[in-house]
Amino acid sequence: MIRISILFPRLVRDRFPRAAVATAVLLSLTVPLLMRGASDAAAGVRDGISAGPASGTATVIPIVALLLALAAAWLADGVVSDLKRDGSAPLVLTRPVSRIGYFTARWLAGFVCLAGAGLVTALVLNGAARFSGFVWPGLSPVGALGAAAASWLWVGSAVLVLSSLLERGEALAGALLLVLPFFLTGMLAPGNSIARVAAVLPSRTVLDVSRTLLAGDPVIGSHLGRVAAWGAGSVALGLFLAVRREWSASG
Amino acid sequence: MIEISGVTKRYGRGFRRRVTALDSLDLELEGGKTVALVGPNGAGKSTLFGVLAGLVRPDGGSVRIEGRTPSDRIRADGIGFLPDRIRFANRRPVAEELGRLAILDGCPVREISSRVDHALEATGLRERRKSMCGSLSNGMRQRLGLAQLLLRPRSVLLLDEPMAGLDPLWRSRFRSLLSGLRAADPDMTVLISSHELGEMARIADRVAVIQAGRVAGTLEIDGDSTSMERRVLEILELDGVE
Repeated sequence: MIRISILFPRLVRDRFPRAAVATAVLLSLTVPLLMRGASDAAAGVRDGISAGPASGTATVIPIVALLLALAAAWLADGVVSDLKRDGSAPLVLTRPVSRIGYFTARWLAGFVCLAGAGLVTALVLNGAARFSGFVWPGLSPVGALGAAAASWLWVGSAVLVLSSLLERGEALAGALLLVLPFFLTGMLAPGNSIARVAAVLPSRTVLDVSRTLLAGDPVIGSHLGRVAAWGAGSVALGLFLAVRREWSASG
Repeated sequence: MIEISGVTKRYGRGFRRRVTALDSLDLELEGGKTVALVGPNGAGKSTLFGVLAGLVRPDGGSVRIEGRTPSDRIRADGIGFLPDRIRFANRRPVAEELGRLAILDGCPVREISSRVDHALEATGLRERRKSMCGSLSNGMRQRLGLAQLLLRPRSVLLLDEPMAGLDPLWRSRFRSLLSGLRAADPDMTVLISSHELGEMARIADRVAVIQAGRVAGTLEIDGDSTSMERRVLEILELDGVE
């Protein structure tokens, strides 16, 4: 365990480039949206309508919640299959270290990066709102960490399962399919039949939990329980598959 | 000591597509000995290395390394393994890659840098410590593979085609490195595979000829590489290899 804890910062550093791109995408899509909301709100104030906080919350928070889920899929892809891709599995897995500990550390390293991306996004958006004089309650930084945790528990753990079973490209394709219900349930009317099928997965619940946390509101306990139960089950399955997986003896 | 008893491994799915890589293979490697594994392409050598390294699960039979299963033995003390066609993370500096492996080997943090330097020095890669692994030539990558074996003492070494890609000078240095490791630990068990029978005659104490997933014969090395080559070919011809 000591060896893995010493290695952990390096595993986090491996995910930095992806985390940086994910943060850039989050900011490039949400900051202009917020600025536009700010200018619309300013125009509304001139017309005697005060719609600033409501428009900011309604437009930015759902986008951040969706993008965090996408970023989770991207960051989690490769937790296991990268070892196969770069050929380092034979060297790493013949060393005196617990496989379950090693894969858990790789999975957690991805979460640290996603949490970092969520936190930076919240802080930059709040700063941008303050800079532009936009009256907006903002994103809760603690809520951003919570939303990242919820997204990671569901998407990150499900991608761990895919990553243990499949090769890299296939795992990424599976991850995108996994995230699709977020869009379906987030963008389709709740009564739509596709949305109903997609609702079998806890995507809608995760999205609701993320939005609520980002807005700094209290979360319904049963929702948290559902996300935690799905996450725990998927992580356990993913780690089991990762440890049991066969590897090529060649590099 | 390594005991391999009745190990079978098949690949593929369905009855027609199943390829038998190891077919009830039996082999015993005494502690302190170097055994060369030779045989034609596709004989099952790399699969056997994979089974011993805990990377490939056999369908049947048992493997004991110093009395333990490969996974238990690896968890307890690790195994020195140099895979065929070794690869490293392309975008990682050489010293960083070795440093990570040293951490996983359990080297004390204070000693990591000196052990990495020693391994790079011994394999002639000191000047390339900051180079990305992806920029190394095949031969240098092979030497980096040897360097990762030098990060800590090991009592079991599995070397799958360790001299592939090495020039004559580094083949000679590899033999010296291996002699040094064996001198440092006389109980070390080494399993090494190669198609270079002359090299094997210089390095190994015994040769196991593997063919179609089973041991076709074993022979003691008498130092005469020409006679060893002839005897290996005789075993393979007797076993039906054309």
